[in-house]
Amino acid sequence: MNPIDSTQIKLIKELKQLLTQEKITLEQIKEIATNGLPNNSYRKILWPILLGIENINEKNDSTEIRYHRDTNQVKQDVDRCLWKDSLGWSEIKKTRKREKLQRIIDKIMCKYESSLYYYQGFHEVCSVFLTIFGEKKSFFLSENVALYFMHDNMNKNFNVVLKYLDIIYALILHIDPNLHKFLQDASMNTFFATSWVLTWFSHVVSEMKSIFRLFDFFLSEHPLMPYYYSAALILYNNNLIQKCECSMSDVFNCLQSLVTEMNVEDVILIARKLMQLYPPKVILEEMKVQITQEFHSVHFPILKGFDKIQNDMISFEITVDAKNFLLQFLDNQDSDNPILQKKPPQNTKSKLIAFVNRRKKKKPISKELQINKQLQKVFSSKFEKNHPLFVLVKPSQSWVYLILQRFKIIILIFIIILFVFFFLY
Amino acid sequence: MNEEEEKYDLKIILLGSSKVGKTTLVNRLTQGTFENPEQTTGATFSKKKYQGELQEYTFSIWDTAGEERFDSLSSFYCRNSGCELILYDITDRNSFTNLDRFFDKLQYTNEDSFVILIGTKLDLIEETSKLRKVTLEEGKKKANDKNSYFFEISSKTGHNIQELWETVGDLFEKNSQKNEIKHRQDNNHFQINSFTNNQKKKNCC
Repeated sequence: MNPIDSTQIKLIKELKQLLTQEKITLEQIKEIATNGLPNNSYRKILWPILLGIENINEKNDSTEIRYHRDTNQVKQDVDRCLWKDSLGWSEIKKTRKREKLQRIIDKIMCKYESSLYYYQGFHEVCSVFLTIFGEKKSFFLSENVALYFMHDNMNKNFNVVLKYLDIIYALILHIDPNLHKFLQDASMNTFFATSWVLTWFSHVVSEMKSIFRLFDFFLSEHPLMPYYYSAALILYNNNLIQKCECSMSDVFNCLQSLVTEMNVEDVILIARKLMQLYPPKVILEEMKVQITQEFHSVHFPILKGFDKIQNDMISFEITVDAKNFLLQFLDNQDSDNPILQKKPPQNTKSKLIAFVNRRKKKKPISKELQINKQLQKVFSSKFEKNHPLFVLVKPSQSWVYLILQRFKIIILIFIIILFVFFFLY
Repeated sequence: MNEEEEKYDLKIILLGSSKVGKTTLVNRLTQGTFENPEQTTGATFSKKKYQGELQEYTFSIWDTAGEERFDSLSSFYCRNSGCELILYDITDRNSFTNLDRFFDKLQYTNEDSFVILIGTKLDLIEETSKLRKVTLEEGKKKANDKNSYFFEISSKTGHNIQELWETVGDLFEKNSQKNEIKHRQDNNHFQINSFTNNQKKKNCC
């Protein structure tokens, strides 16, 4: 077993705490998964939940496979789907997986023949599920990914996708106008990112571990997050890109190479911040894009079907089986890992020191502030301190709430005095 | 003239239906290897040197996705291209009947660009000629109609690959000679042009 690092320990602790609660909301699960799951055992349980699938073990689908308009295209693509070498699979295993992949996609295309259109690259997203799950479960995962996350990719044409791609440049213009000008001068448009967003980077990233990590992130966030991630990836590498010669071929070459060695965690931080600063609806409005019925993802999570899932999930209970499995699994992790094992009893002196230290401890820094500090570390040489990237975004709250929050003690005292007066008279 | 044409002497773009062997041909040309690649999503870029009679040139090769929904992307990549390789699979009739879709793209390319029509997977019919779905004559006729050059190749065995590459280089050199003469004829214009080009380059980055 791989050694566990400190972030994983934190995650396991959070998960354990979560599991002791009666009810777990989808939001809570998302918050944990977005930071990355330690390994595939977690993904087996949490990915279906993120995609809104309940009781995946008991689900069945009776769609029959028949010849459909994309049968040949799917076969062509699946036949040459290689899976990453990092998995170390034999040729026989790959062939068997290819047959399963073909059936999964055929089934989806038959079931939604009137609304979903296959595109080259969709099979790669499904193939990622098939590396962790069996055929039956992979089908349900792929189905919901198609319906709730990739619907816009699967429209009859790429018109909507091409509009979304411009989000990348709009974001770059906000954060780093010089970089934006450079890309424009190189007459490079956003088409280079097509394979990134269409396959959630699974087409271009060779390390399976990074792909899984990215899927944890994308499944927990807004369906348009891949576009924000692409923008973040470019912003993160701004120095490298601007070193290229200002020509389309060179810039294209450079952008292609960004994915081979990317610092996923840092880029995710930036992507999240971008999403917070310029949410999809805001940025599309700014770009003067007319949002028609074809733009499914914009309305997430109020999508047809998914809104129901979202509501149900607010009080969603993980099935007893899944919960037991997870708890058992977490216990095993504990016993394997010396750091997680219970601490030996302390003597009085050390207890005293610990107590004093605890008193001394300052207020924990908020997550937001932490992220900001990390962002400043990444970009400090590039941007001024008052750059929008570093500005703390506070959730918008009504003024009544704010006043109540700020003066709660004074208001309380005031009410008590009122009561006292009331009783006295 | 665009910046990119100054660094790369010729922009080559590969067009054709899905799975006719575009990426395989690129791999054969640039690495000299044969393998079954995954599908191309979007486009990829690579470069290859060509040893001309007097000097060495660098050509950029753009490989595109074959699926129809990627068409608007391929049109974009066609801009400023000087050579189009349009491919079909000689064992797949559909890939041949669909060819007009790609000839239509020539409106986006350079005016003086040249087109080579290529029938691929020649090795497959060496064992049994039954697999052949498009005859040599049909291919030649199509190329003739469209005013383009014609080859049947095999990326697997390397058959006709060298010849194809030589042809691309020859045509490129002929084209540039023609341009040079044209330029010499109106010498003054040429000087002004090259001056402004240099200026542009400085301004760009």
